[in-house]
Amino acid sequence: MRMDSAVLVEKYQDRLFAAAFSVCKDPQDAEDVVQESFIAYHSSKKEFESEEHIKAWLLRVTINRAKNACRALWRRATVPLEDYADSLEFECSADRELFETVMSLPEKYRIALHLYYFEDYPVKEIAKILSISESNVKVRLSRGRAMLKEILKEDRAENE
Amino acid sequence: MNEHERYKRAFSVLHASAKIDLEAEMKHRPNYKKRLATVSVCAALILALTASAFAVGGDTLKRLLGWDGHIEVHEYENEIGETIESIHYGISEPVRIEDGRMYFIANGEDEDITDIVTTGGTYSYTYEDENGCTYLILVGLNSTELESYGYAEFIRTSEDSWRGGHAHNIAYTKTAEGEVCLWLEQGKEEYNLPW
Repeated sequence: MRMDSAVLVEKYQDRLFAAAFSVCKDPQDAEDVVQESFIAYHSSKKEFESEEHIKAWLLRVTINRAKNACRALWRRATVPLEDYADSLEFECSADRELFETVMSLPEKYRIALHLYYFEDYPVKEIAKILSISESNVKVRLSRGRAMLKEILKEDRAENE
Repeated sequence: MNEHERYKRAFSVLHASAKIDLEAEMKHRPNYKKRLATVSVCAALILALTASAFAVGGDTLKRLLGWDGHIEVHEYENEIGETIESIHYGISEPVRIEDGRMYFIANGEDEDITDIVTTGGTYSYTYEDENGCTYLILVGLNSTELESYGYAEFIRTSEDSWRGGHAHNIAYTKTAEGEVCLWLEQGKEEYNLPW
């Protein structure tokens, strides 16, 4: 099956943006990557089994392109994360703290955590999207969570 | 509130600045396939070649790499006791392309890896031989065409250290860190290869 590209943009643009941002940490790069991912879908003739299959494909393309964008020589000067976070409307300071802490983790842990907690993918699906083993996914999730707990604990101790 | 809900609430503040207009974007696209600015290296790239020895008759044969093709390092002593090393390549391609799809065929496999490589990913495959050596094979594309694939193979001995490898059809892209082959770098990062 195929779905209309405009419908997919409406449904998934922000989610792909969040995934791309979790990788490249810059809003402009993330927007460029998401645009390229939708263009790749639009230009492709690939058939999919379901909408879920399309979404997983879009996420995979987006994450891979975001990783490459981080390495590109032509990358423009990025917006400091703190400045970008100032422009976002968090519900509370704890949300901002969680956001900034996740974004401070190594890229491979951030991606795994994002797919697990934001996209609700099980370990098996994350492994397919990232083309890694399920045990590798579990390790990344476990280490990512451990680092999160450690950093959040340290921050709280400093503020007391 | 559970962890999933907390995470979603924190990250739901992220929004793209404007809705993408694909039709408008496609009209402004030039009609050529984007290619990386690359230099293609077709010769085998040998990395840190050391290996365990397997005695075969009078020679010492070091078998480094697997599947149908091998790099074989033959080592022998000449009349004056010098160790002479000669390297033989018998590499065969680890993939075949058929009807617009790519199949990984090394080590007797036949797996469709098109979706992985065409979405910018690096396909990786590992297997262990009877000596406890692990072989890692990486496949990726240097551009959007399947025919632009490159591949690499690395070996880890039973002592758990990466000993060496070779790579073919490497195309480099300029990055902030210098010139890198993007698909190869992805694979190397994934397995913490030391080169």
